[in-house]
Formats: sequence, C-alpha cells, structure tokens
Amino acid sequence: MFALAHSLVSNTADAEDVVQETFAGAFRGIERFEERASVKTWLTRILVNQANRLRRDRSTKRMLSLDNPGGGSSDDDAGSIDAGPAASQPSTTAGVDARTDLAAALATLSPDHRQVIVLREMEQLSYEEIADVLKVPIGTVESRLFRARAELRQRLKAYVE
Amino acid sequence: MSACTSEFEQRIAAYHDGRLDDAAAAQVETHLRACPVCAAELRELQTLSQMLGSVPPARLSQIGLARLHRAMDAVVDDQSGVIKLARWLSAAAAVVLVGASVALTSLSSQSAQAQSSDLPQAWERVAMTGDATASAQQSNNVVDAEWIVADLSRRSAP
Repeated sequence: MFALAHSLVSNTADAEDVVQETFAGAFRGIERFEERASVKTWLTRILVNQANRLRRDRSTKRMLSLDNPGGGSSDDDAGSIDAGPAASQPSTTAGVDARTDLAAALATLSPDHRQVIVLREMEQLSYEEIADVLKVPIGTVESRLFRARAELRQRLKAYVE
Repeated sequence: MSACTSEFEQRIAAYHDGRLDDAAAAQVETHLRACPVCAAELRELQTLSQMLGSVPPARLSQIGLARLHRAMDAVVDDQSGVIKLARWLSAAAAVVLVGASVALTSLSSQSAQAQSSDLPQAWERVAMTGDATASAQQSNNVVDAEWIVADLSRRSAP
C-alpha cells in the first residue's frame, strides 16, 4: 500500500500520511466493507480517496498562501519529486535516470490519468477492478488509460520509440 | 499519423491489455502483420508497460513503519475509549434509573460487549477475505493489507 501511495503522491512523508489515513479510515469504516469486494479493492479505494483529499488540502493551502504571499507556508505537494520537463531526450546514466525521467513524467499527469496508469501498470489491476476502485464506468477507465499512455509516450519518446 | 493508426489505436491498446476475444485479437494480429505503424504503436505500448512495471516499489522505512504502528495504536485507543465511555454511561444510567437498572445494565453491557467483540471479528473476516483472482503481482499488496488488518484486530482485542 505504501508503494501505491508513493506512486500517487510522489513523496515519502505524504505517502506515509496517506497510508496511515487509509488504515485508520478502514478501521473506522469496517462496517461499510462489502464482502463481495476484495480487501485489496476496498483498501485501494480508500487509499486513492485519501490521496485525493491530501492533494485537495495542499491545493487549498497553496491558494491561501498565494493570497498571502508573505506569510504562507512553503508546502508543496509536488514534494520531493522533480516534476520538471520530462525526458524528450534520455539522460546519460540509463537505468536510474530512466526511472527519474519516468517519475517526472508521471508527476506531470493529471491526477485522474496518474491514478489509472498506476493502478493498471504498476498495481496490475484489471479494468474492472480499476472501475470499482475509482467508481467510474469501464469506458472511462479505457479512455483515461488511453490518454494517459499517449501523454506518457509523448513525454518519454526517447525511451519508448 | 495514418488513418489506420487512429482507427486501430484503441483496439491495439485493448489487444495489449488482453481485452479482446480470440476473434478480435486475431483480426488485430492480421492487421499488425501488414501495418508497420500499428506494429510500432504496439511496441511502444509494450515498452512503456515494461518501463512502468519495472519501477521498484517504494518501501516504507522502519521509522515510517513505527509511525504507522503508533498511529494505528491511537486509532484503536480512540475506538476503545468510545466503547469504555458507552459502558460507563450505561452504568451511570443504571444507578439513576433504579427500577430499570438490572435490565438496562444487562442490555448496555451486552451491547458494549457486542461492539467490542464485533470489531476484531469483522477485521478477521476482512483479513480472511482473500481475492481468489489475485494475480501473483497483486498478492504482495493483499498480504500486506491482510497483515495490517490482522494486526489491528489483535490490538483491538479486549
């Protein structure tokens, strides 16, 4: 679960928070668990919601800080990841840099696109499971995944072509 | 981008994800043999999936794990506090309502006990609910989830 959280929020401290809130939420909301669902799907749904909540909180904080440029916090939900321009050219030291470029490319995706990519490609969830986790129709999963892959391929041209 | 690319892109993605039936998959394969643009499209999807799938998963540090345990202890303590409060209130009510005290205390006590015993049982039930279709790649997360859920159950046991 931590790896999934980290893939969604890109920074260790936030990922820890998301995992904590996920299990706390699961513990408090155990009665709402539907036995027809798998534990994984249930926890993943809570985790994705917690990651979304954290992103919204950060976004609100950032807006408040923009309203008050002198007194705002320096919090940034891009966190530890460098989300700068992703690789149109591969970096020199292949393996590690490919991962860095990939992480940067992932960080530039919209939250919706990032979620489907992470759930499909890294968590190996089926379309049905992703639809269940995100509470969207399968057609939406297909179209988001299609667009997310197209974006990533564009940003990672040098690696995938 | 050629016409066949835009027409086939979605189908190639579906083929790549194993979502086509045999007949549709065979159609795509026939097309791929004849169309280098679509064949390249598929290769790019495969390379991208390979890249994404080969990213080593982030690991929770020992310090992070300890923080998680502390946070879970606090959650469980909170929950226990509510149950204790419910028991205390039940006892106080029993003193005030002398006439109904025996029945009320008994009912409240049963209710509180039911709450406290339901909790770990529910967690254990969740912990035991395995996903029979889970693939090998998914199993680590399931094991992690079940381990933590089972651990919470033990912590909340009276």
